[in-house]
Amino acid sequence: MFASLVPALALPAADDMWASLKTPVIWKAIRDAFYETIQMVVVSGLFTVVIGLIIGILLWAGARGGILPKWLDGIINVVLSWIIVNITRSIPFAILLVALIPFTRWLVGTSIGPLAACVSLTIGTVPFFARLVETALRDVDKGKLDAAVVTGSSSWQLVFKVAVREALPALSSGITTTVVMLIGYSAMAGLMGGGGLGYLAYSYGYQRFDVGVMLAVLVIMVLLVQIVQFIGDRITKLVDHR
Amino acid sequence: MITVSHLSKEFVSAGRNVRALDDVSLSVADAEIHGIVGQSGAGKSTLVRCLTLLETPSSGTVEIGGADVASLSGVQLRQARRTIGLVFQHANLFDARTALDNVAYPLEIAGVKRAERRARAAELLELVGLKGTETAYPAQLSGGQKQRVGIARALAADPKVLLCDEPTSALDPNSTAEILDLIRNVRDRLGLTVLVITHEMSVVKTLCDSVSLLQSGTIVETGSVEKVVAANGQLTRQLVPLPALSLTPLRSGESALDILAVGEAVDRPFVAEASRIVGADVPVLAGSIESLAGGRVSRLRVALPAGADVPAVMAALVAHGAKVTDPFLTEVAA
Repeated sequence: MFASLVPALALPAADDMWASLKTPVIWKAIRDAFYETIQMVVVSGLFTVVIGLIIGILLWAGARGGILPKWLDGIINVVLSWIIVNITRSIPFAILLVALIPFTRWLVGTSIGPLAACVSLTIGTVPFFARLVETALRDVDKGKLDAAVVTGSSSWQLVFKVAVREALPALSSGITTTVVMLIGYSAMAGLMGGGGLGYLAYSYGYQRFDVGVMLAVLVIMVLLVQIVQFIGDRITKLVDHR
Repeated sequence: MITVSHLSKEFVSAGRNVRALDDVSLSVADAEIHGIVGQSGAGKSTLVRCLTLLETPSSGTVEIGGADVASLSGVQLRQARRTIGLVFQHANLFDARTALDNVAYPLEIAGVKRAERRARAAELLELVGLKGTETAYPAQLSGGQKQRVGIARALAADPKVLLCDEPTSALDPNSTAEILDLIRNVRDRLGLTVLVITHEMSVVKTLCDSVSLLQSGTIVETGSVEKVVAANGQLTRQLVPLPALSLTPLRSGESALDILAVGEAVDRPFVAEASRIVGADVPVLAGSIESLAGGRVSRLRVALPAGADVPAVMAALVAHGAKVTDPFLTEVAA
């Protein structure tokens, strides 16, 4: 009875807030964006872990000495430690994204889309993860490394059969932290043409002021981070025998 | 088995050279347990690191089984390391591996097949008395058990030499006794040459056949435990200690004598003899009788009254087979 008196346009905003969420179109858009985000996180996550592990191990080995050829130790300390890690870490990620556009275009042919975003995501997180790897390895008790050396381990065996294996709990929690960070970074990369949930939340929530969609995306991202953190913690516990 | 000749090691620390080891020569026979004692800072750790080739000596040679290993590098160095098993103070087990996998590690890196190395590791765990703990991780083991696993791991690659770096310094007295028993047992069964680095004299007393005293980077006393004790030097005083402050009851004019007897001489009546010469009862200030290296050793400290003919007493006691010293010249001065 009262409803008929109220003009359609003057409906309270609260009713309007969830309007677009009731259409199937928006859920398809959310699903697509979710897949794009997952794609960005998984692909750049894999690259980050592989490249970061290599650089982290080199950083550790270079600082420890006696594992790599002597001349390499010095080069690693200067080139990797200083140039790559410190300089990339001091550049804000948003600016790195813009600066890397020409490089991304050269590498993958485009600077638009989730795959292109993976280039800058990887470059942005590798230094961070490499430092985590180095710290994890440095925390391995020196006595264990001595024990490995005196039993006749080669450098390769020392690194992979002892150091990395003993550092596994720390590496596992480092990977978890890095993936969570990548989820956040992927939202930022989404704004620069990467797509994904971040872009969806931005275009609906900021450009159209569609609070409902923005909140839905927010909930999805919080859940995603929680799930990653939960799985990461479980794996860390599983590999930790201390 | 082990011959160390003229071994020196210098470090550059804060811009100046520190000589941690200075012309150390040492030789240990096959199947002998040799102790190296010294205070912290004496160079024990550096010696271990040089013997295990974790550090390259500045000069000198380390021969194990007749081959100089100090100058090796690369693959040869890694192979030479397998002839030495090292037992650490804190076991240094790999936390990510089970007890069995810890023991199997030296075989794993040597390329021994999985089934074979696991069988061998299980055998070794049994040898050290840890049958049934194969699947336990180090965190689930007690300190003594960890050290047993450490010993089993050191034995895995069939070394000729077992080097123990303060093997019992982190253990309680019970575990200490068990580990020392185990080391002797292992030597008896496998015929290994054992080198034990320690600061605990009790380890030397219960375990070692021979001993060296390391002091500021040089070996000052060395030889079989019997000989070293009979030499009446620093090791004698450390191995057969007298209570502290045993010189305080001396009244003015009195003098003190330390009487050391080794072997059969222990049974001779030194105090009665001294009393007879002095013509008065000679009180004992302190005394200690120990069983060492299969024989007995006694150290007595007696007080001679003022005006006693000290040289005559000394001569008489020496004639009975004792070594006599003035404690003021040795202990108090040192």
